[in-house]
Amino acid sequence: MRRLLVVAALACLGIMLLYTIGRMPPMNSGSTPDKTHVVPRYLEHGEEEGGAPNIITSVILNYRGYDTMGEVTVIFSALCAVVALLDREKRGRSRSAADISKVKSSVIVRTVVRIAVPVIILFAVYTILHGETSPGGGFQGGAIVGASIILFTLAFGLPESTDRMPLGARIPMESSAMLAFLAMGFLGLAFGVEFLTYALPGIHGQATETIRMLMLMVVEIGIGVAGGIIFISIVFAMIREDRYELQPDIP
Amino acid sequence: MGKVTSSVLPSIIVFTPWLTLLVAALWARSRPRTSRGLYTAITVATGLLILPMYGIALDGGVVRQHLVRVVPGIDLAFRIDTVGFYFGLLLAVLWIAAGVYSLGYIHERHTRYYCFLALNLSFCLGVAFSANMFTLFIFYELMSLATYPLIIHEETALARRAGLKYLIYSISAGAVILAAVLMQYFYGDTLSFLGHGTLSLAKVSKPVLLTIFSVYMLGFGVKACIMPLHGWVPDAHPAAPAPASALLSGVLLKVGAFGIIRVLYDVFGIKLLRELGVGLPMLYVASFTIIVASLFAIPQTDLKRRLAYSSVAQVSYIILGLFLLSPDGAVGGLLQIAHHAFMKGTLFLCAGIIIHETGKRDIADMEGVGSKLPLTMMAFSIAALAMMGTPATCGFITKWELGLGAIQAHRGYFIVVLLISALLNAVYYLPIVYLAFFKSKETIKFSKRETRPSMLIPTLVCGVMVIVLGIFVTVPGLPYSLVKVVVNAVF
Amino acid sequence: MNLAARQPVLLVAVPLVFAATCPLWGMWKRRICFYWALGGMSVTAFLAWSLIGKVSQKAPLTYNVSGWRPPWGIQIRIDTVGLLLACTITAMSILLLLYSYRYVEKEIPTQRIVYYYTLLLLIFTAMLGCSVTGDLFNFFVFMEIFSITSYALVAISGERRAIRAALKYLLMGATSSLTVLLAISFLYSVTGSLNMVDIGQVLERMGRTSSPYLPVAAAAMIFFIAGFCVKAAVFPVHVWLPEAHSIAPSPVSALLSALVIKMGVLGIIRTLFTVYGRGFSSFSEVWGALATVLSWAAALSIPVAAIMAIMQTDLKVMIAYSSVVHVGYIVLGISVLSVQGFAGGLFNIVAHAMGKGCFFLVAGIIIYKHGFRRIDDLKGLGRSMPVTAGAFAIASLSIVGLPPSAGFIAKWNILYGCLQQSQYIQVVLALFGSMLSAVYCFKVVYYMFFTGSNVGAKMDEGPMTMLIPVTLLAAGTVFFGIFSALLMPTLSNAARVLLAR
Repeated sequence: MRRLLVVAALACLGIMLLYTIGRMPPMNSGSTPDKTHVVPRYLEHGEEEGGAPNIITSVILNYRGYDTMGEVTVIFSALCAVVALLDREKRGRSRSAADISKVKSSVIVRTVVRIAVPVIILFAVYTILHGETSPGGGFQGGAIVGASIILFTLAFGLPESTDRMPLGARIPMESSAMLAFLAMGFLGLAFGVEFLTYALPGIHGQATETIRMLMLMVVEIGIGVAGGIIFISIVFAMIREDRYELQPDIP
Repeated sequence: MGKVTSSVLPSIIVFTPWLTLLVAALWARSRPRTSRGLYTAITVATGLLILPMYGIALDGGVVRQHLVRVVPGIDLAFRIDTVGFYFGLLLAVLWIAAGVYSLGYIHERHTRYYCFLALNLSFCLGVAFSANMFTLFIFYELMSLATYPLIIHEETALARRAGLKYLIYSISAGAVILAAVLMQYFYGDTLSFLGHGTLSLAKVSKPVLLTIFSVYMLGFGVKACIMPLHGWVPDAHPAAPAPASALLSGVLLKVGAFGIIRVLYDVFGIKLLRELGVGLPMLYVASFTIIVASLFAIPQTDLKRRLAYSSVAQVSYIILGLFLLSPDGAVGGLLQIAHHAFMKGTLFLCAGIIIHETGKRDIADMEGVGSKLPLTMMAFSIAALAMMGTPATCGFITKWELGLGAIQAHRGYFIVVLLISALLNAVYYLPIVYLAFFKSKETIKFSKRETRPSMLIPTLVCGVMVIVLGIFVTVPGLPYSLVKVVVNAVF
Repeated sequence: MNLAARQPVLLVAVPLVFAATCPLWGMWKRRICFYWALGGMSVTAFLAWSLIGKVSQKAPLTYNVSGWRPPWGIQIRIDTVGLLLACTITAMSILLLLYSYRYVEKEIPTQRIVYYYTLLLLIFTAMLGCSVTGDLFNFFVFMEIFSITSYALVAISGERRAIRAALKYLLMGATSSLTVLLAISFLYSVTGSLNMVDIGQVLERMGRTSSPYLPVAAAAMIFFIAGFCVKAAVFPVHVWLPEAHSIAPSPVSALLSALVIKMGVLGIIRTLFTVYGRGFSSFSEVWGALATVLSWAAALSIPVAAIMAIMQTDLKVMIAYSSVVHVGYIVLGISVLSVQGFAGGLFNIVAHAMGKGCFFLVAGIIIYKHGFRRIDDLKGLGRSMPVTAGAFAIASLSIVGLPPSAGFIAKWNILYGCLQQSQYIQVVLALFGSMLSAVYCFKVVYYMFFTGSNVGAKMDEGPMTMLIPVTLLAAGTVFFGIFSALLMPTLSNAARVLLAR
């Protein structure tokens, strides 16, 4: 009975989705509402107003920077959740972590990883910092950093990578990333303009541009750090807790 | 019409009993005896506070107090008119009697008992002094809840079952009344009591008015124990401790009747009720209740259970009187509120003394109780005679007025109901008196310590009142003078 | 620098700063976190409460973040509904934090306490963000934050069944979030805007020109309501609620029941009235049908959930089902489309927050002191814990909807609203449900006060930091029952504006 209901509900959902998608504005037309309402201003003035030649970055960090601050908070919340729920400090140095370190990968893998990781990280830094002008940005760069460290961990084991990337540093780094974002927001207030405004008044000429760029960069780095850490933390937690034993129910 | 005065007195009166909670919090553990004395003193003080209103009430005047606006258009407000004053005074007197009586009767869980006794007084006074249906409903619901701890005071299995039954009945009734109040507000635009009906056929269609009326009757009928809704009464009365039973029967059932009075005189008005033609059906229902409840009382072997069924029958006298829709009938109905309170109060208090002193609850065991507790049983006999409507007791006055009312309303045949009821009353009360006094093997001896004075004195006072109200009917200050004012204003 | 004009954004940014720094303090000294969180929420509460009187539904307080005018930027838009929720959230947050002080020491693993306070701060921030935002996507972002934090908070005790409940909650919650996101993207594809008011205007234009994309907007509306209904635990998609709310640590249960499910209600209000209400006359039959379906689901949920609550033997599960009952009342009030009913629904948000908060906190004190969860075990607690049990008794008046409590005022207005719209069956269902509510509430009161003792009659109360919130909440239900006029006229005005079409 229950299963039938679920199937029926899913069928309804599917039919509705198909119906709606069938009636959506065509993707390839330039005159549909989604391209004529707010987008023109982004495209026309995005660079000068938003401060980034990459319009996407302009929208993400400037026009809708408040949303992005929310996204970083999502990441921060997720990290807190991961650390609170999956970490078993003190009792840790767990057996499974030791097991992983015993499983040595082959020399070839280790050598390739050893050479590749610095390059990948370099590319990540490029992605983060250059997100302003070309495709990329904090989220993408963060993901690449995370991926590189995960790769390293798979090759060398958890102890090796936690030596380089201490677990205790996750929370302070994540907090600092968020605080950096918030600081940029409050900087606007301190200068008497709105929250999260990058174009600060009272500074003239080229300096405005530079300061705006610096502020955008701080935000991008913050996002990158936040994004990288959450990836790493989740994977670390999975490795450490791959034989996660639930605490018994308290009756 | 009397004048309207504004005063803070109503809320002072209503909230004075709350001092009991304060006393309980401060001294209940450290000085139990003193605090119990104070509880009674607070009840007396409440009664004394009501008295200054007497002059205004006798003139048909009104004392108003606005408390707070709850919802736009609906206020929490007090308004003491003559009916309210009459009822409030009765409440205070009976509460003082029950409070003093409780000093001797209650032996455990004092704090909870006295606190809820006081809260109950407060809420009942709130009902009596409400200025609109909303306020009345609020206090009515609180009163319903606060009665529960009194019913299950003894915490026996019997009491628990009775308490549960009581709760189910009264909470359902509460929801029904709420529906009625909502409908009244929706169709009538006001909930205020103005001394005349606020609904009219001009604004609202007849079926709707009939619905509102019957929903109200259904709701208030539970407390006023109109026959199919009386189920909780015979269980709750025997379960509760005697002073609480006396209050339940003497006053709390009347709170339901008081609600009906408000519905009659301040929501619909006599004229509209005549137009709707609801008088006769309600008369039949009331008559049915009077006769059938009396019949049910006869086979009961438990003394308090028999008294409870008698209460069911007697409260319907009030309904009968009110729905005759004639002045004399209304006088009879309203008088019955006070008169029955004293009669049934006496009976329950006596039953309490019997249970307390002899441990006997079964009527068959009453043999010779009269020789052991002569004063108590004399009071019992007087009240029993009054129940039958013997002249020179207050029961006669009510029946007389009701009879007059029936004739006045051209429905003389309802006198037959009164006569049958009197007969049935005799059938179930006289055997008790007979057993107590005349099947005695010992001689009657007035021992000094029949029972504790704190229990005996309130009982005897109530017993004396039964006679006083039957003889000095028209003395100003006694119910008749107030009831006349009410009825003159309404008709 | 004129901070007063920036108050709307500070309302979100300030607690966020406190949340971001909280774990840093925790690395130094764990104990500081509590004071930090309490301080942060006090400041936020001041920010929120000082806005009272400066805001109305017709003239909301707006703030353009980063200085971009809507629809290009994100606008914070505090109307009466938003402020009502913001004030409720901040007030409750202080009480809940105070309560947590002693509770977490016993019930939560020590190393998690820091994150417990951080997550609490985050969830409060996120709910504030939702309440005050005027942007649909921003609403979604903050919704994600409070969803993620609430999954974590449910599981934070680490018990096996807590994690199972959190997983169920996560699956339902994530699905609903996805539904809402889908709806937002549908709506964006046909309007090109994310600002709620602006979308309303665009839809109005689309209606006038009978745009071919209106069906997409209508479908989006259905997805919105479906998603938010899961968040609000409207019957019959309430299945995650009883487990999650009962197994979470008690202050978290109180938080989830009192505040988090109200965010789903807020979502319903925002979409039905701010986004679609204004210009959706061309699709009024879909709109009306949706409101009717909602009102029926809500009205049915009242007796059904009440019966489920009666059947429970576990105190917290029972309380959780009672939340479904009250969401039913709130949604009924909102969807019946009369001013008074709407105002009653809004009022019930506050009334239920206080009543249900008190219920869960009382259950928490009992668990803290005795470890009792079963209702049968509560025998005689009224003697040993008079304050706790007394608070429960008073709050139960509000939950049942008996006068003179806030719950009664809410019920009165909702029922009156139903009468105005001639929804007689809904009235009967709601009244019947409230009678059933009396059964499960008074059953507990009965066990506490009127039965033999299980734990002895000696006074054995919970700690002061737990008693104060409980007492204040219980007192609040009575206070707002008597002085409902402090709130009702404002709410009626708000309802009038929202319903004006």
